Amino acid sequence: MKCLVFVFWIISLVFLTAKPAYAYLDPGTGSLIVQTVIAAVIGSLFAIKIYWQKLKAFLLRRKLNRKERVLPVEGEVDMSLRINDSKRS
Amino acid sequence: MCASRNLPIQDPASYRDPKGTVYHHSSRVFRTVTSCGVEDFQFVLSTGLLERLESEGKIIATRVAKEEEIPPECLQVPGVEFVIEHPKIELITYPYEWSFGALKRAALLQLDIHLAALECGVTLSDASAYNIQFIGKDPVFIDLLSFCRYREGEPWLGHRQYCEQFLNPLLLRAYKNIAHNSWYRGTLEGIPSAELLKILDLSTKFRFNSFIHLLLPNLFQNFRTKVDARAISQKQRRIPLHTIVFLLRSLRKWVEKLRIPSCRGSVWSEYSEANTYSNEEREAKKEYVADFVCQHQPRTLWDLGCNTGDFSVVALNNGVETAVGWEYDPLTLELAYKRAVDEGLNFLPLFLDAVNPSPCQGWRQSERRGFAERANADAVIALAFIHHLAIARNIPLEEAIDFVVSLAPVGVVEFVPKSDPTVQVMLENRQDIFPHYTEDNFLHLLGNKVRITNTKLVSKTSRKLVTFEK
Repeated sequence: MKCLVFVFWIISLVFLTAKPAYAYLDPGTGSLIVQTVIAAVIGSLFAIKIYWQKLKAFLLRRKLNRKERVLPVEGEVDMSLRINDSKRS
Repeated sequence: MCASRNLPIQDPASYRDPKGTVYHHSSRVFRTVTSCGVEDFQFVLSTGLLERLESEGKIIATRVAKEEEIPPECLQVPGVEFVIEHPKIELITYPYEWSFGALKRAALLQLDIHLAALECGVTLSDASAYNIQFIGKDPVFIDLLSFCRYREGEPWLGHRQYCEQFLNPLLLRAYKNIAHNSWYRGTLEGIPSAELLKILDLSTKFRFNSFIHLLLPNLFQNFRTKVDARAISQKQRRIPLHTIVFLLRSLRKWVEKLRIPSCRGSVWSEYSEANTYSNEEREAKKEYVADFVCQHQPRTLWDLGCNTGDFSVVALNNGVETAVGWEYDPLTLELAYKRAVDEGLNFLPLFLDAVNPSPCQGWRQSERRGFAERANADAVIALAFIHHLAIARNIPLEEAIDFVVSLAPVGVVEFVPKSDPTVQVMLENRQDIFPHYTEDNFLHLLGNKVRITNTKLVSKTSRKLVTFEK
């Protein structure tokens, strides 16, 4: 989140406070800024990917939990379905 | 008076790097490594990267020079920690002499080496096209001191240089079909992105690759303020490795796909099929060249106006080790280089116009030397060539002959008479101001300068091959 905010901030800074600078003084800065932006973008894509995986894991766990309550756990007998001993004869 | 000692000469192009300097000493090449560069160099050596790249033929062979072999003048320079030696490259060439195909292979080599280096914790400090030389048709990386330890967070400082010296010249050709050579020769440092953007189409500029490598850096460059550099905090200025790898890989995919736009052949590329020789005449000419090569056994041969390299191939097949072609038509030059690569020939066609070859330029006009000053040939062939100087370019016949014979001790020159259809076409729409352009005069002028040892008529249009020796 911080990365995306930073990206928007950098771009708006560039456009809102624009003042032409002499390229010959420092020709490499443009490229360095782009690398910073790309680093931020890739960083945020990674962050999104991780959060998405966490979200998926969370949703999957919820789905599994719900199914657990419906089906009997293997090896145990559902006591409510047991025939009443007294009725057997 | 004792004989003058052979002192090592500092390479005029090797002066900027505080980490070391290149010296030439009796046809050996030494590179000093100073205290500035020794730490990085030893780290790089320890990773085994250099050995691996050398075995793959990607970088020039390197060995640490033995104490007794080093000229003492090299060691007397303060700060020299040790000295390495490289094999001498016979022919130094510059990016503005390379064809598109050659520059593209050099561009890919640079990226491949950088990616391989990053896997070992090593990076390249710059991305200059002059760090690559050609041995035959193959590019080889020569600036060993560009390798340095990769420090986490360090940005790719060579990105702008890579774009201007490798990428932009290729894009100029691929997108606009303008050969990079003349422009590159003018600036020496490649094609500036700001200039290239002015001529690219809007749709091209906004494609993803151009956007991130050209448009965006240029945009930020133009509008940078005094504030922003300090405003980006130290932490945010750290560039993670994945960004550098992303940039390198995206460049590699892009450069790999670049091609010269296919178009109708130029006058010269169709030359091979539609010139004035019949098949037998062509074979006779090839046989003459083959005999010449067998007789004189030159190691290196220059082919003036090499076209697609037919006769260079003949020479190489008959014992010549290296052939260099001079060709100024961009499309034909590409075909010649492609042929060298496809057929695995030790043939390097270069963008050289005999009337305007590469001059001395750069720092103190010695950094990048003129072609004739950095290269020698054992033999020269000037086939179907002299009439282009003497008639098309108005060079007096005597001077044209003088030029050709000055290049090598032996050679073959072809005289194409005015009755030949090609010369007829040249003279069609202009005044014939060449009263001295005759075969007799040609032989007379040539005979005044050198010995004529053999001649042969090779076409019904009276074209004649003449062998000379100095």
